[in-house]
Amino acid sequence: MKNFLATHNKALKAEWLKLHHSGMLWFCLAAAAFIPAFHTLVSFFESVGDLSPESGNKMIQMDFQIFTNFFFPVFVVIVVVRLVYMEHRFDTWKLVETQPVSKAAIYFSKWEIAAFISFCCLLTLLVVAFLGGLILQFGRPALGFDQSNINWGHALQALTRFWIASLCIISVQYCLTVLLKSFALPMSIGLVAIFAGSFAQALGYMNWWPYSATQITSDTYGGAPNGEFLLSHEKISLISSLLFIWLGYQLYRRKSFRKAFLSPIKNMVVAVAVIAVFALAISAVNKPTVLNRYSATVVAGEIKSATPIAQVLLLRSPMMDTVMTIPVVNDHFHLKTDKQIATGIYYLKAGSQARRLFMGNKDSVYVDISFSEGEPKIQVSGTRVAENDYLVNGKRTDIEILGQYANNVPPSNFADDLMEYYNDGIRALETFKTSDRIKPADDFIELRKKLFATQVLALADGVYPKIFAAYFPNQELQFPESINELRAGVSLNSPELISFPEYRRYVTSALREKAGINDSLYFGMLNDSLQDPYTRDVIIYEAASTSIVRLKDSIRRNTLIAGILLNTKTGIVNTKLTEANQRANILHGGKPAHDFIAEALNGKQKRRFDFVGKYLVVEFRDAGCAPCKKESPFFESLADRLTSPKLAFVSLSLDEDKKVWQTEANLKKKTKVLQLLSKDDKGRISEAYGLGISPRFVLIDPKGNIINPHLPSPSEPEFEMILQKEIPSQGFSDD
Amino acid sequence: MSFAIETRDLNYSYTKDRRSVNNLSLQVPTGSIYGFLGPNGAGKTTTIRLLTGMLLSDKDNVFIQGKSLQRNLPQIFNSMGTLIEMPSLYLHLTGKENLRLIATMRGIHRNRIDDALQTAGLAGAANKKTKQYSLGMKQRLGIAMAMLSDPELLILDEPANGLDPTGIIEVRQLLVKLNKEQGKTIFVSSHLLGEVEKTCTHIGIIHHGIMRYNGTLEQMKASAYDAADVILKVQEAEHWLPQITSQYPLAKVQGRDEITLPATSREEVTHINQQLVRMNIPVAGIQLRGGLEEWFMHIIDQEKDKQIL
Repeated sequence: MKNFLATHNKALKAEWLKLHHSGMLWFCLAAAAFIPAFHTLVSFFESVGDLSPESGNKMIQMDFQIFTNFFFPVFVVIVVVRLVYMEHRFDTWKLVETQPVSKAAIYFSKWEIAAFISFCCLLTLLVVAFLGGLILQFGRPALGFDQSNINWGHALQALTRFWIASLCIISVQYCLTVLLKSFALPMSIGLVAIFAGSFAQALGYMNWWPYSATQITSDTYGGAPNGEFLLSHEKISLISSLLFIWLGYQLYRRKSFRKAFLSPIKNMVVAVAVIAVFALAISAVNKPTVLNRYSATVVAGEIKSATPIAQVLLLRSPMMDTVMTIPVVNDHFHLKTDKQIATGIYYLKAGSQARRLFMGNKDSVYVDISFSEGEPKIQVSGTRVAENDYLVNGKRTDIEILGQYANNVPPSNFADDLMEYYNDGIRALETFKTSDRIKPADDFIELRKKLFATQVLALADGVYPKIFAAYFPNQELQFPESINELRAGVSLNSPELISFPEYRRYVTSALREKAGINDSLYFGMLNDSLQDPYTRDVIIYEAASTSIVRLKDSIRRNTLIAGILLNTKTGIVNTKLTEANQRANILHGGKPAHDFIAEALNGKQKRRFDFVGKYLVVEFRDAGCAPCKKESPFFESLADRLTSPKLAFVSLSLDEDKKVWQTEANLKKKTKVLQLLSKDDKGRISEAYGLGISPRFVLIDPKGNIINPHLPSPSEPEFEMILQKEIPSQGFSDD
Repeated sequence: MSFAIETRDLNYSYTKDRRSVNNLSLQVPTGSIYGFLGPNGAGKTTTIRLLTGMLLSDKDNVFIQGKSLQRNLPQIFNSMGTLIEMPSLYLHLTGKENLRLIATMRGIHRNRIDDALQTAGLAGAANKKTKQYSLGMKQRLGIAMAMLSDPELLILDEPANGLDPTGIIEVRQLLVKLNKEQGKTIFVSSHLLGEVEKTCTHIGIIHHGIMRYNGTLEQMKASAYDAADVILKVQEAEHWLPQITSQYPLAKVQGRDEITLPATSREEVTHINQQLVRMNIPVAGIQLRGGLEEWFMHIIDQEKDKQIL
């Protein structure tokens, strides 16, 4: 150690001298500058997207992610192999080893140079990306780089994390090159590991440690949810880096694998002991943790918003009844309570945004909400970080699709398919970890397992019996034991699951299957089968909501709802059901549609009233919503085909940000759909048209009365069929 | 007597069943030029690698200037300059940069580099990449690198390799000069006996990993003479052989006209001559065959004989 310290600087300086004329630094520069430079160039030809102060940060993030996903580990492998092979090639080891410099210093200083080049590479990338932003600021002001602020803290943290992730690649590749003493072999092993690793990882099989380290960091660019500087895989990279430096040094010093680790026996014992110690340290860091509950229930957080927000609400799903009202003071909110709350899904509502949260008693949840121009960012941390992460990022097993392919499938095969999906889901759930290795708590896992079972049973008991009856008319439906076992684990009466839609869907579909289309029988069964009053009322409310939309005949609808209201005792259910029915009465009864006020692209004001005398098809949409983007082209092509002076197509955007709307509406100028931006209060127009999920399509007659408040999606043929049916055919000029 | 290098029963094997260096005990007196001789594959380079700590023997049995090599790594290299096998250079660097590398690791001031280049006759090619150097230039640079820190002990593995005759003479003169004027101990390995004979004060011979000889040049010359043969040029050698064997039982017919018999001293040669005249044997000529070359081959042959047996 004394020798190492005394001679380390000399060895390092010598290593530095060796880089002269090696082209290594140019290689580093070219590799790092390539992506941001290309990105800058491409940006000159890109269409103008959303203007946002995040442009600069996004550019840095994108360049980092593209580079570190694949190119960076390859770069690191090449650098290490070249540095080591430089000595192998003309056996200059014997030159450096007969200098008064310790072997450890020689070995480690080479590692340091590799680490330094890796760092320089990342730094170059950051600088070039930043310069690219500057060039774009002056070269193409329309992209809005002048308004962007670069979050240097985060950029440097990302740089450091990528660097640390690369250290283990350096150490392993170094060790490999010293062991194999060639150029091609360690190089190909490294490259194949990176290729194979990225394929395997893309398929979700395994992560090819350590060659995948920078990819993992790239996937978790945002950093650790708990605010720690490093994620656990980066800590592991550091630890295993040390291990491989030690292993590589033993190989180097003793010149052969046998002498380093096998004989004499003492070396083997030492090697095994060292590996064991490191393995323990790695498994300690790698071990998932389950967070403990807190001493009280706390909901707190921070809001960054241009418009002041006075309070946030904690709403319970699905009825959206307010459980907590928390005042916002100086952009922060904090509420600690001993009030009992049921474990389940809640929504935290701040301004126009609501974030789904899983929480329960004695949970401390911190929500960071930031409204910038563009999409708001909401981050959840606290005791339920893993659960909430799972709800957003957990692997989805789309079990519903099995119902669509169940025709002519015998029960045993169908059950096998179901169980496969079920087991996949359970496995994904049980192995789920956040990027900082926090596991969901057991109560959540229990709930999710039951929900998986309800999903399976919703298909087995709700969907499949009809199919079975059609394809196997003379047989009795008999599911294998596996399904019956699931049935034993979950019952219709599971009040703890009420806030999850999977459970509610299970109950409604199972009973609907039993009751058939007879509504009164169906609601009677719902009423009788469910014991917990709140659960019963909520499920009845949901079932009734579907019936309200479906039943066009107001007399039948009113009778049904009145009957239901006799039994439901929960206040909010009764209020909402009454409201929903009233709204339906307004919408379905041929009542006049709300006279919306809107602005056209030319700046002129338009009202619903201006369209009197024409049939009017209105699309209600938001710029951000994905289904709107999918349906719009169908809507527009329909508007192109169904031309008539008596028919108008309008797209009414409810966006709050005029710029965002303009960008999108400008692209649709040439279509026959009139682009409008709503000037009404969002809440008011939503209520007047009974709006829920965007997009919604409403048909209004020439007198201004609603014909159909709930048109199907334009991508479905029914949409056009309804238009053809409702609008007198002489109205169309062709088709 | 102090030894610049001393080994005691040094052993090393690359593989389990064959020892490359076998119980090698070697003493290099301080202030000597020690010629380390042996044919290719005799274990010279392995020994040198052991002497320079590049290979480590299991036991602590290499001593440099009286200090244990293993326990004094790497400081021991402060007083030791080495050139092992082909000069190992960083070919992408210039000659000057290669020297600067050594200067950095040895903590030597940079101005020594130009002197070293001058001495090595490389001043003109100082800023050329060593990739473009000829083999001789590389060799000279290697020697310059070994001598850069002016060490007490130089270990040079085949330093004349690849040099042209002038170069060889220059290196030879340089080594003698360093030894005479500065008292440096120089350990030179070679497979060329003539080379060693011309410069060295002490000789060691290794063959099949075994130390065959260790002593001064004078002692060696004496022994070599001891092993000399007398060659008699006689027509119809077979015919005269019985007469000669009656006196010298070890005489052998070598060719059609040659008979050899061992001679152990100069006096004996005179004596043999008188005897032959007395026996009326028509000797056309008497030749003394010997010297180091013969002796060296003799030692190696002995070894070969042993192996065959």
